[in-house]
Parts: sequence; C-alpha cells; structure tokens
Amino acid sequence: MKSKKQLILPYFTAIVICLLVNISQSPAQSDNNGEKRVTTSYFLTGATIIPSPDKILSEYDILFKNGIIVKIGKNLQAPTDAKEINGKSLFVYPGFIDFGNKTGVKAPELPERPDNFDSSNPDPEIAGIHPHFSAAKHYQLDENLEEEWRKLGFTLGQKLPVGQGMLPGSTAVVIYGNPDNNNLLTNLQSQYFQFSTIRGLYPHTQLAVMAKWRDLYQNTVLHEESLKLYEGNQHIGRIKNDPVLNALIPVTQGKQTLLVSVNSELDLRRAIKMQDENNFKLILLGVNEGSSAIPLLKAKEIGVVLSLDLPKDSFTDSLPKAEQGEDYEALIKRGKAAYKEALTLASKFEKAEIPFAFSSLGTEKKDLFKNLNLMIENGLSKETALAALTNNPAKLLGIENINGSISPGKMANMVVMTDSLFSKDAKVKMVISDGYLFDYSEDAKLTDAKNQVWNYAAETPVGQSKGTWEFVQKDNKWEGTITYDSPKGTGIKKSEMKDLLKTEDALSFSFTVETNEEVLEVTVSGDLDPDKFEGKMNIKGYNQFTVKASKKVKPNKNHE
Amino acid sequence: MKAFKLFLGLCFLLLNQGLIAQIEGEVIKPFKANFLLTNATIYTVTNGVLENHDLLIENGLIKVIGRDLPEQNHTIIDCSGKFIYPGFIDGGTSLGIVEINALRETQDYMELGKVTPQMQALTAVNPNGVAIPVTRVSGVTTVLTQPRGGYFPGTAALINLNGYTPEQMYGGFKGVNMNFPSAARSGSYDNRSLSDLNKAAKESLKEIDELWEKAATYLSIKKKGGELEYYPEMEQISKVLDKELPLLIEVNAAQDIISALAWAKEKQITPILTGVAEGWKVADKIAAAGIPVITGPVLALPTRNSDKYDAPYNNPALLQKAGVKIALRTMEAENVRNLPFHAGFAAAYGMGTDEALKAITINPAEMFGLSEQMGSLEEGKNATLFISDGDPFEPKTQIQQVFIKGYRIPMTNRHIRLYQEFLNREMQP
Amino acid sequence: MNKKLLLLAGLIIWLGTEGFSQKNPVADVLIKNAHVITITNGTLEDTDVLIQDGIIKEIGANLKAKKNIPVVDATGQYLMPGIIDAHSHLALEIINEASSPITSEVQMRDVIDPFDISIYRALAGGTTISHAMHGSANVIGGQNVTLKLRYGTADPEKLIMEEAPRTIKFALGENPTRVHGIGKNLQPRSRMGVEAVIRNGFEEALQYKRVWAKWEKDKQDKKINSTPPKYNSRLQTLVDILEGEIIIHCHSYRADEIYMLIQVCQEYGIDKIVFSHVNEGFKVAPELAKYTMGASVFSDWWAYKFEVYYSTAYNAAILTKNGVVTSINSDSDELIRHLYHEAAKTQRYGGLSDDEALALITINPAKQLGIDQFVGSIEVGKQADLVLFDKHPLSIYAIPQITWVDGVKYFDRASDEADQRLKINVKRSPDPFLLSTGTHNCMQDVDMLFTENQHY
Repeated sequence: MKSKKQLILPYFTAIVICLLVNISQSPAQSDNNGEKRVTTSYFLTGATIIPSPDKILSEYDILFKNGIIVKIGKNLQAPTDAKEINGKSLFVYPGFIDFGNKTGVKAPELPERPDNFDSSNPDPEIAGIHPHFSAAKHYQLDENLEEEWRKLGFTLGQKLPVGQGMLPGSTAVVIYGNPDNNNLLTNLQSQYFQFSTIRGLYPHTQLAVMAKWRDLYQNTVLHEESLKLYEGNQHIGRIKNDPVLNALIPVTQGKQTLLVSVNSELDLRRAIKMQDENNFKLILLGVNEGSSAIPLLKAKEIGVVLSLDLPKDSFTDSLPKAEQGEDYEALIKRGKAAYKEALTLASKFEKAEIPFAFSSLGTEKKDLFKNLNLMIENGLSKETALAALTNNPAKLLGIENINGSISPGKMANMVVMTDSLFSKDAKVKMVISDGYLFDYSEDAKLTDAKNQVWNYAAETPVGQSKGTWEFVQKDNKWEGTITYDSPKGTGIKKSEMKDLLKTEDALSFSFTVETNEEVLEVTVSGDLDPDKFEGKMNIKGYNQFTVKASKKVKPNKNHE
Repeated sequence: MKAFKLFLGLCFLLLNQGLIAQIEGEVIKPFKANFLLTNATIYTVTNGVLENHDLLIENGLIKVIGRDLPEQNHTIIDCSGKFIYPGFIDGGTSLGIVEINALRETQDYMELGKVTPQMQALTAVNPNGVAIPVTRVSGVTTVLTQPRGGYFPGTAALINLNGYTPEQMYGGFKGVNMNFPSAARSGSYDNRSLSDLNKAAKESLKEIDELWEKAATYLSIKKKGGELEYYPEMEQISKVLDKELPLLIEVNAAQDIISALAWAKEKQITPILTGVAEGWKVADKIAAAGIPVITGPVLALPTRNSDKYDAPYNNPALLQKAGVKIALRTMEAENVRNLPFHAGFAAAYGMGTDEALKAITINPAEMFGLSEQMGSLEEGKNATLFISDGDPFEPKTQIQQVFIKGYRIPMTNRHIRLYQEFLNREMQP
Repeated sequence: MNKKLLLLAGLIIWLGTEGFSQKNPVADVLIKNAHVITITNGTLEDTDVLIQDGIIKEIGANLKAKKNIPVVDATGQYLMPGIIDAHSHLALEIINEASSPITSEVQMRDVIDPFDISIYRALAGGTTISHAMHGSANVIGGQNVTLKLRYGTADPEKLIMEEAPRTIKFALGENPTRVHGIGKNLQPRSRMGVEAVIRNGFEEALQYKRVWAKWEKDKQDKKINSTPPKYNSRLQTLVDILEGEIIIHCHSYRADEIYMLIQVCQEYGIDKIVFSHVNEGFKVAPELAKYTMGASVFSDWWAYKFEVYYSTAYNAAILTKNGVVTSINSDSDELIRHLYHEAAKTQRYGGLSDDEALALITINPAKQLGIDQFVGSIEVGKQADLVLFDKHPLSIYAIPQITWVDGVKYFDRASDEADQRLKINVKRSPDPFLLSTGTHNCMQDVDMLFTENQHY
C-alpha cells in the first residue's frame, strides 16, 4: 500500500476539510486489491450514546454518511445503502482529541553554522527561532503512525512542530483517519512557543528567551506598521522580507493563539507574565503543577491543557531501615503529599471551573488511561475527564462546530467502547474517524492475557525472516502457532508449536518446516519480558540465529 | 572620625608595648628569645583560667607559668589586661599546598590516580605562601594540611605556620587520608536511583577492601622479611595496618558514617573521622565506637534541603554532647584565619566556649598524639601561643602577638601592609 | 495537629488564595524594651517600636498599642534593621545569560525562584532584602532585581521590591575575558577589550536614541519617508543607563579596571554606579568616594583567583575611612546567612565602630540600591524590615531570633522546625544529601561550551 505521503499545502489555507474518498484510484484499474469500501454510509443501532459528557442516550441509533453524522434517534429506519452495525451493549463517545502531540512530525533541516559564526548573534533559524515553519509541512503521514493513538480512541490531534528553540513553528490539527487521505484539518492552528533553547548561542537561557520574545513582539508590531506604510506610500524604501516577523503578525493581531509549552510552575508563571505584558491569545500546554496559579488563570481566561503524564510514585518504596534517618518518616510523608498534589491537579482545575484539555506529550501510551484513572481516583469527575478529551479541546481549537460531540452535522468521529468509559473492563471496540470505521474488536478480545500475538524477526544469512506467534491459554496450558514465509515460495505458512514452554521469563518451543528437500526441525528459546523476547532460533543441522519478538498490544486489523 | 582616632591610638599602643607592627622599610623576621609575659589572664585550657599570671618562654618552650616571676635577661611583654591562649589548631586545610585555587599550576593538593597514599602533603608545602602570615596573625598557629581526591589521596601533615623549610614547619603528625565511598548523591544534578547509589558505593568499598587485602599481604611478607618489589602505595597503606600511621577517613552522610564505623571495626583500626557533616544524626553510634571526629566547616550550608537551617552550626555541639571527641576544621586555604569564628559559632550554637576552645586546641593535639607538646598552656609544652585583648572568638578582639615554638611572629602580612600603604593615600583625585 | 503542620497548613492556605490579592502582606506588631540599633540615630536603650501595616509608626518608651496587635517582649535583646545584601544570586533559577558580551536586555525578574530554600535560611540569618543579580560572565550583564524575602509565596512577583529603582550588572576582568575571549573567540579577550565593548555599547545606544528620536519627530511632523526603526531592548536599556534611570552594579576586582570604568562613566555623564567585590577598591578609594555611589565588598575573600591575589581584608575599613559608601555583600547562599558576622570582621580588620560596621549591611547597601528612603534604618515611616538578636549582632555569639519583613514575621527561632521546603521534588525521594552544595555562583549557567572553569 501507499507508504508515505507528505502533506504540502498552500501557505495560507486556513481550514481544509477532507471528505472525499479515495479519488487517487486510477479510473481504469477499478479496485484490483479489493480495498475499496462498499459504502460510506453506516448505521449503528441500539447503542448507549454519550453525545456530550452531560448526556446519555440509551438504545439509540446513529446514522453517518460521507464522514458526517446524519441522524441520531430511537428506532430509526435503516437506510438501504448503509452498512449496519449492531451497537447493542456498546457505548459510543465522541472521538478523543489530543491537544498536543508530535507523532509523525519531523525535525526541520536547519542551516549550517557558518565558519565565522557569531554565537552572540546567530541567524534566527540556527537559534531555533522559526515561527514561519509549520508542523503540517514537516508532518509525514505514515500508514500506521496514528494507528496506536486511534486504537486508544483518539480521532484528532494537534501536531506540534519539532525544534529545540523557542519558536519552532505553527501547529496543525490532523484527523486520525484513513491514511490514504489528506487528513489535515487546520493548518497554522496556533504558534508554538517553548522555554527551551539551543546550546551555545543566543538565546541560551530563559532569561534571553523572555527578552527575545519581547523584542520579537515589539518588532512584529513595528513590522506590520511598516508594511502598511509601504503599501500606501511610494517614497518608502523596500521593506526587507522577514519571514519570522511575518509569521508572528497573526499573534500580535490576536488572530492566532500562542501555544506555550510549560514544564514547571515557574514556566507557567512566566507565560502568564508574557501575556500580561502583551495581551495576546494564550493557551498553556502541558501544565503539570502550579495549582496556586489557578485563580489567576481563571481571571485571565487563559486556556489550559494539562499533561497526561504523571510522576511515578517514588515515595512508597522505602529505604532499608538502617539507612533511614530520624526525619525519614516526615520526609516520606511530605513526598507522598506532593505526589498526591500532582494527582489531584486536574480535579482542582475542575473545581475552579476552568475547562481544560489534555495533551499526550511526554506520556507513554500504556500510561494514558492508567493516569486518567488515577486522576479520577483523586477527585476528577468522569464527566470532566471526558470533556477534557472531547468538547473542551474542540472549543480551545475553535472547531467545536464540527467536532467534540456527537450531533447531526458534525464530523463522524466516535469511539465505541465495550463498557462505559473509565470503567475497569472498558475496551475500545471500534473507532470511527472521519466517517471511516476502524474495527478493533479482535484486539479487544485479544487484550485478554490469555490470547497473545507476537511479532518476531530472525536474522538469517539470507536476510530477515519475519512472522507472528499466536499463543492461547487453555486450562492453564499454553498452545501456539507460528507463521513464516514458506521456503517453497508459496506464501505464508503456519505451523503448530511443539514442546511449548512459556513462563514469566522464559519461552521455548519447536516446530517443523518443510523445504523442497527435507523437513527441518527448528527450536526457539530465550528470555521473556512481559512484552519482549530475545533468544536463539536453532535449525537442526544448520545454524543458530538471533531472534527477537515483541508482543502486540492490540493486534491490528485492516480498517474498512 | 572618632573610630579613626581610636585606631591610631591602638597603633601607638601596639608599638609602645613592644608588640610589633611593620614600619616602612623595615624587615621584621620571626625571632627566638626568652620572653616573659607578665600579668596576663592565661587560658590554659587544661588547668583553667589563671588571673594575673606570668608565663616564661625559654628555648621555644613554656618554662614556667606562675605569679610574679623574676626578671632575668628576659624580653618582657606586659600583658596587663590581656589574655594568653594556646595557638589554635585547624584540623583540616589545604594551607601551604595551594596558592591561587583558580590557577591549576598552583594546585598542589591533588595527584593523578585514586590510590596515591604515599603522596606527602608536607613535600608540597610552600613555607613562603602568602596565606601563611595572613593566617598566623589570627592566632591559628598550626594546621593539618591535606591532599584530596580519589580513595587514598595521600598523607596529611601537621604544620606550624613558621619556618623556612617544610621540615622546620612540621608539627609531628602525619596521617593517611581516605575518602570513604558515599552512597549519597554528589549534588543536585546527581539523578541516580537510591539502589544505583548504594551499588556504586558497595563496588567502591570492594575495591578498597581489595587494596586493604593486598596491603595486608604486603605487610605480612615484610614482617617475615620476605623479598618485596618496590610498591610505595602498599608500603604506605601497610603502615596504617601496622598502626604506624593513623587513618583519616572523610565521611559525611549519616548512612556512610555508619558504614565507615562498621568498616573500621571490621578492619580493627581506630581511625579519625573527618567531615562528618551528618554526624548529629548518628552521634551516639560514633561515641559508642570511641572514634574521634574532626568536623567542619561550621559555617556551611545544611547538607539537605529539609534540614534545619542551623544543622551545621549545631553539629559540633551535638556530637560533643553525645560523647564524641571533637576537633574543628575550616577546609580553607587562604581563609584558615576564620577558624576562631567557626569555633565561635559552634560555641554559640550549643557547644559553649570552653568546649569550642578545646576543639581547636587540646582535642586535636590529643587526636594527633601530641598532647605532651601542644594544645594547652602547660610548663614544658611548646611555646605556641598568642596574646589578645579579649575573647579571640570575637571579631572585635585584636590578636596582638603570636608565638610559635618560642618564635615571636611579626604581626604583619600582605593584608596589613596594603592597609598601611593605602589607608591615607598621598595623591587625591 | 502539631505546630509544624499548622504552619504548613497556613502556608498552603496562603498559597491557595494568593492568586488574586495584588497587595503584599503587611502586619502590625509592637516590639517592647529592646536595645534599638537605629543605625542612623544611635542605639536607643529600653525602647519600644510600634509597627502598623508594615510601617514603623512609632519609636519610644512605653508605647501603647491597640488590642489584638501582637506584642514581642524584647527585653535585653537587640533590634536592628533587616540586613540588606547588595550582591546576591539567591532565589534565582538562572544566573548567567553568557551567550553575548552585552545582554542588557535580560531581566532577573523573569527567573525568580520563590521556592528556593535559601530564602528561608537567609531570613534565619536576619537578611530581609537581597539584590538578585545577573552573573559576571558578560561585560554588561542583565538587569538585576531587588527582592524582599517574603518566603512562602509561589508567585515570583511577590518577592519583588517594586519601590526599588532599576539596576544592572556590569563585569570587568577575568570572567568576561575568559567566557567570551577565550571561550568563544569574541571580544573582549583583555581588559582593553572590556573597555571597548562598553564604549561600543554606549555609542550604539546613542545612535539608537538618535534614530528613534528622528522617527518620532518625523511622525509628529507628518513627514513620513521611512519605516519605523527596529526596536532593540538591549540598546534601549543602555540608553536608560545613559539617562540615569538605572544604577550600575559592577563586578570588578582590580584598581585599574575600576578606574577605567570610572573614567568611562565620567565621560558619558553617568554617576549612578556602585562597584561590587572591588577587592582592590582600597587602592582607588578617593576616586570611588568622589565619583561613585560606593563599593560593595567581601569581608575577607581573596586569593581564590589571580585578580584577587593582592587583596586585603582591611578593604572595607580603608574604603569607609576614605568616605566611600561601603557595604558588605555575600555573593553566596551561605554567607548571606551571617552577614552580621561578616560585618563584624571589619572590627578586627581595621577597627570600625559598631555603627560603622552595621551600616555596611543596612543603610549603606540601601543607598547603593536606591532604597534608603524605605529601608536600612529604624526610623518612623520606614518599612518594618527588622531583625531581633539575643546578643549584640556584632558578637560571634549573637543568634538572630525573629525576622520581620513589612511587619510580617517570616522567621522565629523559637518555633523553627526542620523541613521548610515550599515545594517537593516529586521525582526525587526522599531528600538528597548535597554536600557539594554550590555556594558561590557568579558564574552559574555559563555553558561548558563557553568556559572550562567556574570562578566567581
């Protein structure tokens, strides 16, 4: 299938909505791989629908077509052109929105440092000041890149530009939809700002970042004034093109948000101060502490995006008794309190009635829902947690008219769960993104510890040999199969595993492979982590090869 | 202006009394004679405070302490209203082995390698270091100067702050320094986990144990008269095993102190612990082990952010009250002169002046096995002492005359000469 | 609930509610029967001091206060003005922006760290105001900020003493020549270059001022024939220095470099300059007295680097006796805890009187920071930044007992407890041992790319 597509877009395209399907197919070739879907119309019946955090619709039907929600109601007439999905006992939520994410965004190429490089006065791009760059331009859509996020229920994400400096570029909102489409929803969504610098040149620390920002801001205002003067007056000399200042004009005009990434309470205070000085639209991204600033944030109506990352609990593991000082207990107590403070931060924003969103930046995927549940255990309501994943980010992004809730006319972005969200056994069964249906029901089944699928790769002299292992536990006994490329060149073969031994930290089995000449006995053995394997593959009478494997979190399935 | 006159008055007072301040063009050298210090209040340290007593210095020793001693060809110094104290001893410095710390060429306190016990601090002592006269006029007459870095940085030496060669300065004590491996973080940038830290410390200690084992083998062969190859590192460590040289173990975090105590017990040695910043947490254990401690600097920041602000000020007192024998140190080079102030802070924060005074006089002398020669004002001991116009811990007090082993020390140095030259500049702007 | 928890709870409540209140906390207190060391008016025996709304309202005998005003019985104790440190890097997240020889645009008020435990420790040493300075890596460093040590807030702005005039850091000698000349192949590489960099900066600033003045005039006259000039806060700050709006605090050691800057300042009509460290200031004391706002020195630091080799601990005494407004500073989170003791050393080295010695850490630094009308002495109408000692503060045995800022008690030895941290590092358990605690940090944050060694 098509591997990589780069999205190159007209510079000033503000909003592009992609609704059309697969027009890239060559007309004369029909669909010779059988990939095309039969219909763009789906009818989901009898589900529990949560169109927005405060509403529950039981046993409702929902019809969406061409990526748009058409109808929601009870006992709707099934349309003739729709594929019907039985939604009985399923829960349907608006698709989740990730407010800040860098998956798929490549670092831009920066100019080389010249020989006579003056570190005190570097070219802005070398200094990481390139607001004229955009995440969209450096976003490389890979087929499976967003798959992992989508499997978690995300249907939309704000892509952040990559760069080490203070102004790496503007953000873009993309749909986690059919990878064959151009999924850019908005370009130049907001201007991204971070308190970080490139080593060894100006600006080197937050001190100069703040000063540089003030200068850039003032000069942008002056630059805009200059441009206006130039337009209306032929006696004024040509104005030197300045892509940096040009890119910042929308911010100073209040048309574009400055999205400021904060890593600490002190960063957060600095960002508020920046806004105090020059009144621009501000959203704080990655807030992870600083509850004392809540009243201030509320008064100033500053947008807040909390980090989904939480600190590890490093206070429960205690030191050996001999190494504990007199004040050890008091210290641990305060440490635990501080840890608790981190867990309750979201609930404090909720109590203050600040509508916040979440960003996955810096969070491991496996921790995402664990952390959300931790926040809920520590006072965050499930409704607000859902809002922070759906309508709050939609509002902060200015796309609430098309996204963030389930109602007719909005984009068909939904998560279908096996149980109500945040409940213990809830699994993502399906994700509808941009009207495409991604079925993860197999995965939902397979996340069960008793069913596992692993991908393996063995390094052999003739190249890499790949395939899968599938394990099923029955009556406390593991059985397994292995797939591999047939040595006869007849495609993929599957064999039963023999002498399978699978414990917590070791795995071994053998299987037979038929070649044209003989039947080979192959043994695999090695060390097992929860989701990694490393060991040897021994082909009797031949040689021994290294084999590595990793457990699939949720085995993927083709989207329809 | 009043203060200025007062000061000038003070200068005259000094000159008139035969106490020495440098006059332009004149070179004053330390000189030895028989001095009779009369009518002083004498802080003997070991025999209480003696009012209106005389002290006779002969041949570099304290010959007699008594009332109304007869004059016999002595240089008399009238000490009415003045005080005599034994010279102060700083238990840990790099005085004499570094001139300007930022200039590596002048850093002679560290050698390459982590096992260099045979490196002699005394060898590198520069008797003409500018900081030496700056230090001694404060009443600090004797310091332990020590190398640093690695497991066994070298051998420290006690020096008196007067002499033309290191040998003349040598105070009669040497000890092998050791840095005990620490399981504590080395700074706020140190991000290792607790178990990593412990592991690293254990591995380091294992290395030291292996060295120790080697030195034991070396010693046993030596004792049996066997043939040994030249191995100066083992030669030096074996002297510690043989109790010929004491071991000075630098250790600071509480858990490390406990490990060090256990280690010393296992090795059947009685070291001196140095540093011991968190000694207050494990003071009773140190006391029970009967191991003496040289602690300081007292004017230092707490070692943990959660500690009470005055933990370092209180540390000497808490150790001393638990029964640990305490000496103090500044860990300074050019500002060893602040030792009396470190002692003053220790005194104010629980130790009291008597004990603080002992911690910079008799206690270190005893730890160094030199209590017969120094550390208090007693007949027969070295005449290493000073005359002051008040409590020497008080900054206001002037130290008026210092004697080191009977030598009258010129009460001048570069700081004072610069003062004399620039106080009233002739050419005004 | 024990006392400590109560205290913490109090702090948390304050932290939780402070977001809105714009005013800094002030309080009332009546201190009875103290030896009141006024600094400017001698020592008053058995005297009461009444504080209302953070201001010294009355000084005298047998003062009566309204009910509910807390009374402190200070019989036999010594009350003096809060100690002011004219050179500190306390409560700063970052100290040096070492990337350019001139960084006059950067502002230390952007990087205040209100959680720094050193603030509490400084209060415990009687210090109430610290001049939070940029480091000494650059010839013209950043704009400093004068802090009142109002420990307990999470809001950096709340530590700022807003009444204080603007100040800026300059640095001469080894540090800038090493960082830029040796480290980056940029001028200055020598003390000649240091002067040149300053002159270049001032000349560019004057040019900048002219260009803007012309543009503003053309705009007023509606004769626009060019676009507006670029804004440059670096040059604008230098213009402000030239116009006397900013006090220079210059890191310096040697007499020649001090004299150089005096000359340059004279030429550009600058008289608001204080020399800091200024170890060889004693050699040019008459010049410092005549042309500057004074010198802020160490009590006894010397010989740690070559340019301080020819120093004397008698520096403060020589300067004072030559009529230089002299202060003693810490430049260290350790020394700032006992500046009273540092001041006392001037009695050993040069025999200063009690009043002269204490002026070095109160009214004199206040003058150097341009805040002497608000603080620095115990006078009616001044802000109630005070510290109570059990013994005379110049005695080695003196221990600060209570420290007030604006009448609010921030330290009380009687109820002091361990663990005064405002913020816990959640990622680090439980609280690391930090023996190599850096206390001298004039060169902190200077990237290893810029320089090899760290010196103050």
